Amino acid sequence: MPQLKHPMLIDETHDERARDAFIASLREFTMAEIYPQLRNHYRDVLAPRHAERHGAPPSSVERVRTIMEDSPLYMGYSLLVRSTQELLWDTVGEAVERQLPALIEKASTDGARKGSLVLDPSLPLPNYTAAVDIHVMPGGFHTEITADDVFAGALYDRGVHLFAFGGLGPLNDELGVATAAAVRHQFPGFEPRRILDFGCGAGHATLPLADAFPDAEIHGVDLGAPMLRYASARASALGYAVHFSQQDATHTNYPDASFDLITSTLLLHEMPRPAILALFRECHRLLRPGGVMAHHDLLRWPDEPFEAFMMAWTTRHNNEPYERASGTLKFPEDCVAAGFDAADVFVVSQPGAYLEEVYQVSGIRGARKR
Amino acid sequence: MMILALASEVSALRERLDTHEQLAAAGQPPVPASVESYAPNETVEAARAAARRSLIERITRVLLEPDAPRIRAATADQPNE
Repeated sequence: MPQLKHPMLIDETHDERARDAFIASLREFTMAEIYPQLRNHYRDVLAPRHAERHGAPPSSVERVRTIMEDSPLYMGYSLLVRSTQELLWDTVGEAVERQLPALIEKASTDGARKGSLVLDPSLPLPNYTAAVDIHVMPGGFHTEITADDVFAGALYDRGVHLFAFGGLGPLNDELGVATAAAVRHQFPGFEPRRILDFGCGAGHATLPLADAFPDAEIHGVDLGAPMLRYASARASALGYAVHFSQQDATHTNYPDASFDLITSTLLLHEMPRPAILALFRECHRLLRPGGVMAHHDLLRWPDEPFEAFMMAWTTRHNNEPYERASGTLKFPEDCVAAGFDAADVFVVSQPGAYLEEVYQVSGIRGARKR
Repeated sequence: MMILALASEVSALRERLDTHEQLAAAGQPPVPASVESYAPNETVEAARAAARRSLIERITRVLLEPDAPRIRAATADQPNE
């Protein structure tokens, strides 16, 4: 499914488009063809061989790891996924660098801006974001390589589309659409007036909230200035008025009880557990009575050793060291600790839009404030 | 990484060559401007997707055919501990 060519999306030459297409094909082949074969190979060959020699299939993640790292199929798969990830950023990054001044110029046109953009150059970056380039994306979501930089936003917008081989939709927004739909489904008649999207990034999951709740005022918060500049320009170009602000979601400057709906999409799995708990407390502080927090992410972490080992691939090799924290959150306990009532906690399963074969455990969960 | 980067370039070159052929078949000179503005129709795009897949299958075949001699040699009698 081709990406919608909105005004902030990079222009690409014939050959850049061809390289992109190769990467998307490679991603799709690896995840849709090789990954299932790997699972079958473990089930049909490696686990029985272990059982034959040791009397039982592997009972721990560490034992699975020993077996898998002796498997040419696993090691080949692992090399392919990591190399494809590096190639993806290299390829798209070259196209972004070529036209960065023009993108910055477009993003800087305040006259065309709908909504608002507030940046805070003095914002301290939490170590869990500063210490790793998440997704192996060079510079992560925050690094500024030049004045008024939008590099990270432009790179991510095109890059994530190829990463998902188009499966996130023409606007990379299908997870955000699902988040909004889950809130609608869970709380019929709920009409939030002010909505805040944490970890909004390029705004892929922010704009669907405006579609689902057209009368609401929409806010987006992120740590990364280059993402926010890009998100604001992208939203404006697509006709949305969104208020973007550079803040740390665990302690914002918004007043108590100032939002009706707070969302996040694929944010929790990039945060360590203490930060997630602080985020839940901040949501509780910011919500009005009757307000809802809804987080779209992993719902659980597999118990079965092979599945747990494979889930942790991104932790080992894709610079996502905290992924397990989101999958092992305690619901409703962790919401109760943030001030919510156990009876007001909800979970909506949402099979992975494009990686159903891999991520069978994602969905939307949160709580409504009394 | 090195093999994939090269494969990506081979794939891009093949698509550029295909663009030249498509333009020639339509009676257009394959000058840079017409190559850049060429947009493949669904049939051409489907053929290109199939070619990309074939290329990737050839690159990964050594992994995916577990009965291939090299894999059998590499996995035989592994102590797995």
